[in-house]
Amino acid sequence: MYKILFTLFIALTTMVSTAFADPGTPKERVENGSARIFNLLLQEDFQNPATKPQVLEQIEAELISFFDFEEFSTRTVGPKWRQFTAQQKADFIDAFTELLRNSYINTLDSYKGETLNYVGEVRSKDGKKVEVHTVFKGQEKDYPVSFRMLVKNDEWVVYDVIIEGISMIKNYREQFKDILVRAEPNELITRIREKAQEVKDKPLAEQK
Amino acid sequence: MKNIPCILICCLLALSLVTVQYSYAKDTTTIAADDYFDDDYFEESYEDNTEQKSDTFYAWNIFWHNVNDFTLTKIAEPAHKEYSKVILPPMRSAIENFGHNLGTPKRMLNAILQAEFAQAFIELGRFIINTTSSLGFADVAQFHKPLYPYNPENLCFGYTLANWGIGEGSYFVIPFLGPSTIRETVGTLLDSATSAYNYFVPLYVSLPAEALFAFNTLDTVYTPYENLKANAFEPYIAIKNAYLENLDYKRP
Repeated sequence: MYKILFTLFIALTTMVSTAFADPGTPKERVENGSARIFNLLLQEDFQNPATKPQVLEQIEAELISFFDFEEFSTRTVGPKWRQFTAQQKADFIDAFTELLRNSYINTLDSYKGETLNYVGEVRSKDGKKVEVHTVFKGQEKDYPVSFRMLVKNDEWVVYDVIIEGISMIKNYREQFKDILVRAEPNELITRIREKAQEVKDKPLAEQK
Repeated sequence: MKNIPCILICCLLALSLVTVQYSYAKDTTTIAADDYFDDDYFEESYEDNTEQKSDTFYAWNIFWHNVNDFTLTKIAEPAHKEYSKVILPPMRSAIENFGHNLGTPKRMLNAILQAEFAQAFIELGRFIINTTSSLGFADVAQFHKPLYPYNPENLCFGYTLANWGIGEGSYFVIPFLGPSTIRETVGTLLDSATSAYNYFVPLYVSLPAEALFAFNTLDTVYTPYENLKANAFEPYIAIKNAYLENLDYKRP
């Protein structure tokens, strides 16, 4: 009898724990996520042109699980997001993800073993949102970088990056707001696609 | 008179002992204020209150934004690239250190106006070390880390005025200098008015010298500028937003 109860107890507790998977702490998420990406960047395969695309694919997979591009997109558009059709929303997320990818993927090449160090965090009162403060130790200068995070699908994901006080979503939002005053959502999506292509064709000047 | 450096060094030592307890003891987790995470911009309930931050000098700003953009990317940047080929990094850093060292009186004055006396002492200590060792061309003092966090970038009139509770004012683009606000423009004017060496050498020496110090580190301006511009849909808005957000972050 006790045996049955015991098995039942074990079964129940495992069920409960799988149903509510522990998302961990935002600190762990940032530290583990950045460590995994930095390790991939330091691999010799990343320097070798033949194997580079494979490593790049792994890095992109890491970035996609770390950053939530849907949360990014909804926030950059702002209140007008509710007027977008389902198709427009999907197109926008696709185009914007592509833009961010093309804008920043080349900066990975200039990585030389810099580190990202946790310094603290700010939590919202209900604990649903956290801003993790880190310092990116650059070659010449240190950059304060913050990640705004929330829990989605039992995992902490990033929905905004703030570098030296400049919020990425706010910066895009101010620009999109200006465009959406005059233009239709489809026009904005087209412009984002064009920009993504333009950035892809003309890589950025080397990041300092 | 001979005792003065000795007394100063003693003062510095005593001060560094006093300030040990201040050194970098920070709580790592804080609870945010109510509106801190007000970033669900897609929500029905979200009220867009950034509209109030209107651009009073829009016509002036957009005009000078375009002029400055042209001057920076078409004239100054190519010129600086040629300059970098001739004047190599050690020379550039020597010029930078020399210019920075000359700014000591201005920074000390601001430290005192902000009641940051520890910073004023650090400035004085650094000035003595760097001037006696290399006339200011090398930053020897950087190897003597003060125990009190030293933030030279805060020691300007823009910061002092903000510290006194003066609001930033409207966004204002300064011709040939770039983004600013009303308060920061006043700060910039006061900064150059209090650059002490202006009073010891004639203007035809001090003005080109100041221009050279600014030009010398121009790559730290145009590199992020070019990157921001390359990613922007509306460069004027992107730069204005980035400047104001960064200013908010740097000021008290």
